[in-house]
Amino acid sequence: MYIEVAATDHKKLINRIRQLLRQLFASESILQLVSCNTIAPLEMYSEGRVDRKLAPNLPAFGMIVQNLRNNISPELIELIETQLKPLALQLALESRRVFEQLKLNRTVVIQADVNQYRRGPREWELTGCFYGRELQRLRPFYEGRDVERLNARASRDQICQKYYETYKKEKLTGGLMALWCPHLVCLGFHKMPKAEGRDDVFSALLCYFESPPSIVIYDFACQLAPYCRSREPDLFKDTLFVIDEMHANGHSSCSQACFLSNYMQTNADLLRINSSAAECSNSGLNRIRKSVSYMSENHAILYTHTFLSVWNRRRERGLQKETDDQAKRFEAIYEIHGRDEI
Amino acid sequence: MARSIRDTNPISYRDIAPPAWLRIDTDELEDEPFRGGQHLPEVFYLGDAYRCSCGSRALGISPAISDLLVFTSTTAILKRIQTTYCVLCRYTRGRVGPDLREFGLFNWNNKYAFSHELMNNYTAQFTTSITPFFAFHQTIVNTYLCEQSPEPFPSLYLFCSAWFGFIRLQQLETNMQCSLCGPNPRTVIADGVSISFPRHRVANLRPPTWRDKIAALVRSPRHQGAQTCFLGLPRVRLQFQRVLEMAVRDGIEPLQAAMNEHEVSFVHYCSLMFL
Repeated sequence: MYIEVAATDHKKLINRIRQLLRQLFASESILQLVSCNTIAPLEMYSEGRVDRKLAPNLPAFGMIVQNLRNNISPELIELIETQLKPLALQLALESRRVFEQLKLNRTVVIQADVNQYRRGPREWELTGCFYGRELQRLRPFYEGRDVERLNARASRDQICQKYYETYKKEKLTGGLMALWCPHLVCLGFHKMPKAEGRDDVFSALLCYFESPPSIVIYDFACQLAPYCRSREPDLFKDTLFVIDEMHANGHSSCSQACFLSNYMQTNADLLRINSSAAECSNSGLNRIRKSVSYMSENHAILYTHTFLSVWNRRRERGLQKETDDQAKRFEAIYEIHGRDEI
Repeated sequence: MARSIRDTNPISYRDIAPPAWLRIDTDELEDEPFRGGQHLPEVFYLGDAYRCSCGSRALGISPAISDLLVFTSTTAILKRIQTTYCVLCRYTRGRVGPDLREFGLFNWNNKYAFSHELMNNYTAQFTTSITPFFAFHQTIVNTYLCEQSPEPFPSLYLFCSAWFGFIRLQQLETNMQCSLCGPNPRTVIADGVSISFPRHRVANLRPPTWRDKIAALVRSPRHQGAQTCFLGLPRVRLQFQRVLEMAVRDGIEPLQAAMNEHEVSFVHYCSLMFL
């Protein structure tokens, strides 16, 4: 199909097909390209109907379909469609197969009552974990996927650690994991005893969100997506994990399906998202980095909590002011129009 | 028995309102302006809200009047305070004193009180720019010197302990929700940042990554789902990506050649595309 189109002058169409091919031949899971909520639109397309959800969920495919409407000869349209339709069906089938495979033989062995683990409202002062909402689920141990943490002392006994102890000293904890909304409001945080990356994001979403968000933006979303889907396929089946625009440059071997910018082409709502919100907020958090590095655990938690509470209050006041200003502007416009009519 | 500042609870115990510059619609408490302490009475009586640092609210006999130093942002003010012995911790010289919230003061130990505006000042400073406790403390010490305060500003250690005691009472906490996104936000941005404290001080941290096999256990096959790509063979994927890049650079001939070469492999995976 690519060769036939490449022989024509439709540069946009050539680029679109090339983008789709790149994503088909990428090393990521098919679920990154075709999420569960894209399966139905793909099946519909294979039957000759175009669903409006196709383009926002699968931009590489949706853009080709859109381009087919623009000054393309009927012969070429027919040529492309006859090959796109079976491809759509195959993508849908493959995505469903992989999704079902993830669920296959997955057994919940023990799931204790979460109420037993809910603590008092000031528990965060001890645990360093504050999401402003009730604990929703316990983070299970995924046998076959999670690695059991070895006793540090036992592993140290195995070989001489002199070299590492001299040159590699991790004196500080892993830092802070924070979740933000696109309006720069902090949705919660937890102190990390050591840096663990994707497990921190996964566990926070699993434990504190009743239903996971539709879009999760993370600088290592390419790794986070398979991590979440392999552990909780049903819960995260409709969640889109994408890398923000600022960090996209570093992901040279990831396909476009992992980038937020890819979905912005077909989803106007995403254009408004400030994907680097966390970076802005982190630059704010840097103000307390030095102070916290000398603090005890309790004081570090309290200090960070205070900073983020103040941050959120400032954001809330800012949003309120914006709303008020907007209302005033509307009032002014209304008055002007009223006068004109008079 | 001497009391360590670290272990001391303040006398003040009632919730403290957030400062005016942080007030939001959901706040119930509101602080009166301090106005430099001009309207403070000469003697603070026990009133209705009182307690000892041990938490007891049982009044002892024979209330006494003693000195109280009020620290503000610019100067210390000498006042008097009414206290009684605490019947529950009498051997530790514990005394029951007034909460002083209504005066915009934070009663630390019936000898020292800090104005809310001083504490809020530090909150404003460290959340706006990099301001460690030491820098702020030094600024206030210097201000006291310039203003010829009757008493110097207390030690850094005392100020830090008092600020943490104050912030525990202040109702700054929000519900961690955006008013526009609501309780279940559609988009979440996650990011880690290296705001760390010394690892040897970790005692009670319990992040959500904490797991216990006895509480929750899910079993899934070990290598299940390893091959989840649309096209399974990594070698073919890589080769095709390279050829696709070449096609961008040198035209479609290399692509055609590669396809002819790998016709057998491709037919299996993507016959639909290369008819």
